[in-house]
Amino acid sequence: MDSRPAPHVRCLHCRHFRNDPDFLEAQFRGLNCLSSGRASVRKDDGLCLHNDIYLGADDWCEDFTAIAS
Amino acid sequence: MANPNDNEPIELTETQKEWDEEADDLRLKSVGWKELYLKEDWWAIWVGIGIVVVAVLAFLNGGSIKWIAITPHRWHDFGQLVSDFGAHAGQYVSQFILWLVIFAVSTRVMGYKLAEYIPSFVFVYIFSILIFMIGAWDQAHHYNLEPPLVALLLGMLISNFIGLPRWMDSGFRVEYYIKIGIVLLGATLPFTLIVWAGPVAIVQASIVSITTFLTIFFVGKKLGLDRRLCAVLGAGGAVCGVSGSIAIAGAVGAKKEHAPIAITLVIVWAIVMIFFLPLVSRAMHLHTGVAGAWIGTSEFADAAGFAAAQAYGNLAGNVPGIPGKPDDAVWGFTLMKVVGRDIWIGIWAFVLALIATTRWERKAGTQPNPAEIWWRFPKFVLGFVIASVIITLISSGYTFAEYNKIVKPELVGPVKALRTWAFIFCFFSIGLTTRFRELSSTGSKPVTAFSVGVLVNVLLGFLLSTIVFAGYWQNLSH
Repeated sequence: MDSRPAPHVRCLHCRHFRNDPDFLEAQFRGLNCLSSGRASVRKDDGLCLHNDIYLGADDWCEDFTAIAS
Repeated sequence: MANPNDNEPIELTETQKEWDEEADDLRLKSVGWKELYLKEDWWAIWVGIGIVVVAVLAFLNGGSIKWIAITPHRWHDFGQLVSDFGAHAGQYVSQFILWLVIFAVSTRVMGYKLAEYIPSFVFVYIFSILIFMIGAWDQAHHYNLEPPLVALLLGMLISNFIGLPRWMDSGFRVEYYIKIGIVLLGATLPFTLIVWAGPVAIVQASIVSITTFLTIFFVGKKLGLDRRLCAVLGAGGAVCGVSGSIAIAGAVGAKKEHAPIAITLVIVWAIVMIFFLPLVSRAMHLHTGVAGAWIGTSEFADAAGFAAAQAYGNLAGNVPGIPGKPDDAVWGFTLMKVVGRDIWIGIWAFVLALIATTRWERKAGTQPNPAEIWWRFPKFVLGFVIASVIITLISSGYTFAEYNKIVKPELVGPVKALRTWAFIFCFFSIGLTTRFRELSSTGSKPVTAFSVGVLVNVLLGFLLSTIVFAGYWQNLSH
């Protein structure tokens, strides 16, 4: 069972999360050589710059910090 | 927006405000069904099926799109080449405009800058004509100047020894071009063949994929590598290359450095296999269908595999002692790689996400949802199947002789020509984006784990393709 504290608590809404395809292609050199930041298999995964992990936009953790917008 | 852990609004510093603005710019928002116009897979379907539908409509009205599906004719001396090009210059210009409009619209919608894409694609198209022309030389096969290999080598020479500005990568869309090519390939592959050989491809590919994944995973674990890295490497070597690695990396919550390690290893080995597999197949005079199936199990990426399969298929009829038809290699590869491996990536991602969440330590995560299987499904495969169904239905009204006399030259042939253009764009782009100096260092343990997997993969794939299931792969044309 998902134990997130609130529905909006997900990486997608976190200040530390980046999933722009061009940003990811720049971070992962070679990604555009035999794949793409705009491939379906990638879904909307992205990088957490706080924990330095690559994970799904629906994931979450205790370090969640909402963006102020 | 308040921090969920307390009710007080956050007071931001200037740095934090900039951070948030950057986050907004670099966040795609949740894609969901917007992928219908944001992802390359869906655009490959719109473009590929669009071309097939236009071709069919023209055919049913007594016409053909072959005028615009021009390719260089076979030539012997330079004068012939120049004369042929001059006679058809208008068609090349028209075809260029067609491709440019299609790609400009689609890439703009996907978020690329036209000021970058357009000049980059002009560069790709001009060189693609040259590569095509080299392949049309009647002596090309004697010197191994197969267009896929020429495209790849030329691209790598340019990117690694001359260098191009980074913004030109906008036009070097390897995956987009190969996915369009695969959808168009569906139009040249009978649906009955998918039904007949598809289950065999799934069985063979599953045996090799599962064995290879487990080999890489457990060798990596034995060497002390993080389980998530082992899974990412395993997916790269066993399922579908860089796409497999990046999908599994997101599914298991891999560390930032894991995906680049897998990307490097997949790229290096994929480039090696583009040359190794056709070379060995040629030395052993393998049937083109058998070689295609072997490449389908032992190559890591669709784009690289098509380069190898097409290069080997082109030898049939041009080099003595190579049995089978040129199309058999590409068909065998497609059935094995696309049907046998690619379509299962969503299931791999879901299962590994489940394992990672329940059994491995994860800093962040959520309960995996079976919907992952759909969202990560490589949607371009749907276009491939639809194209196959459309053309199979149209062709079913003709006898075999009528099909060869009418349908092939007026409908299937032009679609195949446009498919070959898409493939050349792709192969050249692979070379242009393979910058060896920029690839991540990997360390010896990932190299060892991955390479052991490659060895198992190549040997097992060879055994199954040339002996166990050879009967299927040798009879694709029948």
